[in-house]
Amino acid sequence: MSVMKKRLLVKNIILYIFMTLLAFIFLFPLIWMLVSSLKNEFQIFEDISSFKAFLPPAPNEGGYFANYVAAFERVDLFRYMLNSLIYTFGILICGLVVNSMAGYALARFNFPLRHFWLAVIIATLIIPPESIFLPLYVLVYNFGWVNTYTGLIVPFIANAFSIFLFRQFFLDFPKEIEEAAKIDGCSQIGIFFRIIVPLSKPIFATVAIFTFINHWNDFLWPLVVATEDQMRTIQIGLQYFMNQPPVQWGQVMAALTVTTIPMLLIFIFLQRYYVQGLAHTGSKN
Amino acid sequence: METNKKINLKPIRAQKRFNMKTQKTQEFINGYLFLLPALLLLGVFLLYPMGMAFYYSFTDFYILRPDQKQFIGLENFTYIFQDAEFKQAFKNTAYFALLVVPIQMAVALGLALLINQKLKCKVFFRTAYFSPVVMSLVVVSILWTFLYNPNEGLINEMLGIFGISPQPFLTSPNQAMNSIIVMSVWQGAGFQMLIFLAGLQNIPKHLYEAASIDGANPLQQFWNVTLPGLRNVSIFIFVTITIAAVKLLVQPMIMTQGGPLGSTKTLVYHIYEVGFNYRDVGYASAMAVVFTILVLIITIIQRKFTGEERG
Amino acid sequence: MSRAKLFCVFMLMVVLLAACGNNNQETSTDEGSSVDESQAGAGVTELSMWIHQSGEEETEFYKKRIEEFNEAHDGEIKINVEVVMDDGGSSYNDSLNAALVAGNLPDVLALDGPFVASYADAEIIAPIDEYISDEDKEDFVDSILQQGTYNEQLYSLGAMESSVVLYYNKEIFEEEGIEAPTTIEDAWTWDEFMAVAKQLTTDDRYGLNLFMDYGVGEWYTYMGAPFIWSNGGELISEDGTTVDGYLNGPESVKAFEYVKSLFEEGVVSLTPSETQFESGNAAMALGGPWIAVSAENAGLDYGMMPYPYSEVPKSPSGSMAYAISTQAEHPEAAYKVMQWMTNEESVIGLSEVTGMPPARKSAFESMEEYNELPKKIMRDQVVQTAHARPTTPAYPVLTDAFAQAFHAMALGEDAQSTLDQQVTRVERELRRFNQ
Repeated sequence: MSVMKKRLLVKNIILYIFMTLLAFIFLFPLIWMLVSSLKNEFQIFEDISSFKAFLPPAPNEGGYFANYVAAFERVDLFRYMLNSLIYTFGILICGLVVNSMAGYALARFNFPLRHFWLAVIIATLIIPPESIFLPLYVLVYNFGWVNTYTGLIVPFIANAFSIFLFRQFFLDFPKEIEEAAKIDGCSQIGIFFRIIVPLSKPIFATVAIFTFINHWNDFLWPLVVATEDQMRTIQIGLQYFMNQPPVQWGQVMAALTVTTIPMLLIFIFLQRYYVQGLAHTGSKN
Repeated sequence: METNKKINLKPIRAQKRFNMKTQKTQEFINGYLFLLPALLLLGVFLLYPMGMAFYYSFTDFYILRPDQKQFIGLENFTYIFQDAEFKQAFKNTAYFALLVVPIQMAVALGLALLINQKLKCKVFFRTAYFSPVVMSLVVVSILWTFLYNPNEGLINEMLGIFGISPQPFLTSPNQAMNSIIVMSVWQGAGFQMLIFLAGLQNIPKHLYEAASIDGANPLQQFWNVTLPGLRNVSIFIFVTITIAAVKLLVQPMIMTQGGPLGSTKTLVYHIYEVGFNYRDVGYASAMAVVFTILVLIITIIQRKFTGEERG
Repeated sequence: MSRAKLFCVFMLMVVLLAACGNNNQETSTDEGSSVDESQAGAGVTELSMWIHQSGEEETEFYKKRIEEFNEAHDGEIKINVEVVMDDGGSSYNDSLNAALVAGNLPDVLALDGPFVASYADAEIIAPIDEYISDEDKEDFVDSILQQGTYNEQLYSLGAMESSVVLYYNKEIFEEEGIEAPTTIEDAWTWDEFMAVAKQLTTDDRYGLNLFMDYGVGEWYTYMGAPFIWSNGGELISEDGTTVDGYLNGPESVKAFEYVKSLFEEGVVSLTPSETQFESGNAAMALGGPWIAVSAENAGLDYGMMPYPYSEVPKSPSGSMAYAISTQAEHPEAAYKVMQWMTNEESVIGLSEVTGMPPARKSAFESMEEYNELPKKIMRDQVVQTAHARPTTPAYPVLTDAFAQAFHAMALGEDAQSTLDQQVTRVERELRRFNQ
């Protein structure tokens, strides 16, 4: 018995050491970024080739947050952040409505060309977005949407991957609940928004995170469409710090940290739902 | 009696038929009502530009002379076969995808199995393994460029501890793509890990119980219960990783600029470069069309294979 | 039943409005302001202008100068300036390209010197010969006029020049007893340069830094092309129709082989660290004017030498320049802006802010630092040995071909076959313009 227990304990210790090591391998850029944002220029590069790269600087290096102060002084990071939030949340919220409806339609209703549309939507996943940017820009320009939030957001509301995720989820959604509501006399739209949506939090969280990750890091489209300073997003703001030698890497790291934090927060808060929502991706291909 | 029945049934049948009919039209209306916003948006902002790109692919559209484009037939398409860079980019992309897809799937599954045990600090480990996904690819690429630095990069420093001589990594035509593969797996596996995790949690517990009653050891359980249970999830992951892999762009763009000696130039990178830097939208569009068709074929083949096997 | 239905519809509308409402508001105000711009007060000529994003002091300086212009021309001309992102890579050009295709180009735009030719060739920018006075033109250094001229017409003017000088670490030079040349006439030849670089290379120090860490891009062409020019070679024929026999001509091949030997002898690293020169890990560096700034910040005792040469001393040049769109409705007013942004006051002010050499000869006279070492080297190069990069519309492909070949040399590839291969690419691109 005690031998077994001992063996189990040893096994567990090895497992935890292994997993912690793995965790470090996956976390080290975050750590490096955070730590470097607190160091001065010279120190970052002095430490880069040793494990000191992951240790915070000695406290007497004249103010931990000098890089942050400098970064915010150089650029209106607040404004860029606000733009990024408007951009990402605009796509996210409009996208949740539009894509969930489409996913629901493809999962539930039997109408002509249903499979055709599903195939078309999935096929659009394949197109490399870079190859359609020019015609898309011309279109957006002709709509008068250059340097507007509309121009940034509207082209990316409908998303094939989101529609697909919603469809997979709704395929598994028990029909009985809707049928009961139907007998109560609510319309299809009513059923959807009043009954289905509140019961589908996991998939909404999943798609929300997915959309957020996807668009928070967008670069080329905001760059081309938002040329005015007050329309820039944070990713373009980041380029500002990297645009001219000598690059101030400490400030780059500070700006990066500021950029990465919203993503991490959103993931940490929504991750419980996220895993649940993903559970349906594999069903009934 | 019989006639009575018939008389009684008639209106009911009619009503049923009527119901069926209204339900059909109802579903038609509702279906399109729900689908229309997405279809419209996709149509205007994706399919229409795609159609334009398709049209451009038959012209000599040069960015600096947008009004002077001329129809040149299949000239762009025939040049694709003479374009040595396209050939190299195709090879590089195929190499990347063929290695990244299985490796990333295996790593993701391994991570998911680790996390799926009874653990303390599960949430911490899960968040940690997922964290690279959250970081911008641009940032991660810059960071790994530092790590891969042959002279003072951290990775060579660590190899030195084990007595391994410093490797050139991104500066060698033989190692650059492999270095990008390692970094890409590291960056992306967390996402698929979560999907696998969700799939693992969907496998009914009683299957494991039944298997252990039958005397199956953990390895046999893995082969006979876990893997079959993950079938559909794996197919989904397989298809999505493949599509993402063949679209590789950001990593080589930032880490190697497609070099050294073109060893990390990918198809989408080549398309981007020709279209935006060399301004040859016509030729870039033609390559994009070919690219899309190729990937479409791959996807269809994948679906055929994975679909047929399914019992 | 109907109440439930109504409620459902209401919910949907709330969701949709909440989602898209705030965007619309923001949009309408933005559109409103752009309408204002185009219909503003009669009599005032409104001009749109794009400048590229650069360091904040430089950008602030541009903005200040434009403000001063608007004040000086109050009630007459008003410039609305947009600062467009430039990440040192392709982002500024991506924005320009997109605007161009949509017909959305500003009246006055800043663009990188080597791109002037392609914009001129496509008739996107207009020649300015009829506006510029001979006297004013005379004052610009030759390389600025060279880079702005296409088919014998002048299209662009720049406010600043640039150069690459050979920096050296004074401490190391004293230790090794090496004397640095101080005039173009005394500049090192390739052989002398190689000998010194070898002497300065030790186990823990490189003799030279070529900033290969900037990546395969414009820097390689900008910094590396003088090797070819100084060896009597050219990148492209004089009429701009072919690179065959030029880029892969014997002079070029020999120059590339020299570059290759620098790497083979181990005097220069393919992967230098960010601060290799500043931290004393390289004794010399072929670097831009910004290296002076970072070396000073690092507290390094440094000096400048002229670019080494083979037959004729040559040095890099070129920088951002201004041009006028052919679609500009008021080209004379647009030229006034261009003139203002490149007049002596602007040129001197900009040079002081950026540390880049000025584009006017008169500015060199009045700026004392350029009359003494080390910056005198920069001045001498800009005035005497500066060579503009080729003015061909195929430049984007040509520069990539050059950079690829330069990088291949660092990797030890064969010069002739590498260049032949790149020539094929450029030739195909040139066909478009030779019709």
